[in-house]
Amino acid sequence: MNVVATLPSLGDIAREVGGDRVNVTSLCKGYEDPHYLQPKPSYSRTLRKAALLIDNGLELEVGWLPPLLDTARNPKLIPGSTAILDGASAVTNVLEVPTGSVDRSQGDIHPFGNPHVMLDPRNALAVVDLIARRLADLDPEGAAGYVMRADDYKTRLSARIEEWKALAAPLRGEPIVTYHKQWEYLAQWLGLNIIGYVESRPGIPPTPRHVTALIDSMVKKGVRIVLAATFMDEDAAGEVALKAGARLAVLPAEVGGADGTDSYIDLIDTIVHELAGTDDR
Amino acid sequence: MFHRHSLGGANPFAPALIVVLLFVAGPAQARGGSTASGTSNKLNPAISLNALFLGELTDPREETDGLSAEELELIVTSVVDPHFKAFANVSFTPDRSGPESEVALEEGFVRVMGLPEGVGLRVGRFLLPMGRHNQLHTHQFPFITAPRAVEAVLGEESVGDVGVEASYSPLLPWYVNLRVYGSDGASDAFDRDGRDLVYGGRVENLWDLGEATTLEISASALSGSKASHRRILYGGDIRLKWKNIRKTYGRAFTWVTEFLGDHIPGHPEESGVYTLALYRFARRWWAGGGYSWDSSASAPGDRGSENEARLQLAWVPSEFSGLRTELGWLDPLERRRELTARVQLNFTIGAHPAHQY
Repeated sequence: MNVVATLPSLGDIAREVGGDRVNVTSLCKGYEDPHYLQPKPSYSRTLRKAALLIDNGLELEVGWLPPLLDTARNPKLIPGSTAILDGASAVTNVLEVPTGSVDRSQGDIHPFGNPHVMLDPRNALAVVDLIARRLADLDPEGAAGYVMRADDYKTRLSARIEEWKALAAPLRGEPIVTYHKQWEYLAQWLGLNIIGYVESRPGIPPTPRHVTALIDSMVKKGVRIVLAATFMDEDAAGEVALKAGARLAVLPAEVGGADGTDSYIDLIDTIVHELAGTDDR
Repeated sequence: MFHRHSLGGANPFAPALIVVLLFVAGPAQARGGSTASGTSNKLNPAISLNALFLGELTDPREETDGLSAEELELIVTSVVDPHFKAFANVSFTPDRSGPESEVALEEGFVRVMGLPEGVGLRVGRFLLPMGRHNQLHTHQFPFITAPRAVEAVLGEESVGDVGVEASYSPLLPWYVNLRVYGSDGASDAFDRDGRDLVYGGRVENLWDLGEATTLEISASALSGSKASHRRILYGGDIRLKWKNIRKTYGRAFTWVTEFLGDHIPGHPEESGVYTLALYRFARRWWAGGGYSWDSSASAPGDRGSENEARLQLAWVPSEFSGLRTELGWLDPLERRRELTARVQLNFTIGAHPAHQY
């Protein structure tokens, strides 16, 4: 079965669950910002062959997936079809779902909540089950194998989650600053306390006044870590970190976003070790 | 020319008011989807508004000089049912010389979903795929106005018509899209009275030249009735796009060149070519330049050519707004050389559908 995932992390999980019965392609590279993928028509050729499309959902891909689906002309991939699966639909605790009015004075907000769910591996456990169920629906002959591989993967991932929690335990309550509103799920999982953002609003570059206020706040609150994804503006994040006396951690936000992150488990492992300051592997 | 309908009256902002009322009226309806009221906004389509405001100064002075609300585009799109997906673009163009405004249905079509693999079909009113630039709405133009070469061959308004388009994209080592269409013929590019069938086609090819670079080469042709003869429009275009995909707001570059021409037996041919390049050199800043040449005549033996050059600097604070400044130099037929400075504010509100690549 041809499976296309928008994000490499979803693709890696589909590969783990599907085994030899699936051929998985991911559209977004790990070092690309998934908000802003260029919807090259060549991707629609990939989507044409898909029996299952796994996207993140929560409108993460709204800027590029709809036109690709239009040009893919795959009769399986039409709205409402079981061949389209929103990974985030497995997540029950979606963060930052707006409760009041929403407009773009708040920046590039996501009206359905923060979409970066895959940065909490506990959410990945739910996504594993979701993918296994959908693969089984589409390919009943392989159902038993999908369930078995999903259980095996969850066992391995759960064990690593405990390891990572222990490794990151000293960071619990640590005040940090991130470049973009991207690491909320990771922070919630590890107990990090995000006290501010380098961007003045999501998707809006920082103003000098914002940077000054942020640095003051960081100094007062003893922030030691500034966190930025590899595809973000390292200069701005680096300047803030330098002036506040903090460490800039430039981390991959997706599978393949840096060397040694060829799988989802490798990705989270790299992030946790980097944050814990133990990335001498 | 689009079918435009006057919104007469004393208020030059009548179209804008209508749009505002649409937005205000929507949420005022029942939010909870009451069974008793039978109203809900859950099934509302995605609605967005593009607004273009223009300031223009020309030497020698032109009637168009000054400030204007250039155009408002109301865009509505939604899935209709399991079979169709709909898109509509309604354009409001305030008349600068008086209180009236014009309303035009630029596009209003449905795409059929669930067809066999690779096959596409759309029905309704759409911008005919005659060349690359003709398919763009005003807010998508790479420069503030269309290149002079496009206007000289296709007319000052984009060529749109009511018809049917079928397309097929075979799976080849590169991306190919074949499009054929037939339409009503009610376009200024042809004789509107005759209403002879207009038909045309376009073949699009795209190659990935690496993860960051693509090359597109396309060709178009369109045939219809004009001056009691068959008018054949033809063209070719090439586009090279590059973006540093490893940075969200990384540097990016686009180069486009397009050639257009026509043939009517016994009439002088019109032809034009333009080339332009745009470069994002900083997160919020783009710079560009372009050159256009066309050869046309109002009567046999009255041949002449036009040249146009432009420079652009654009500040794009977000995906939803932009401020563009341009300096244009035009050596037109039958008129003195013109130097034009333009500034355009462009913003979008609402749920605007993502553009094609």
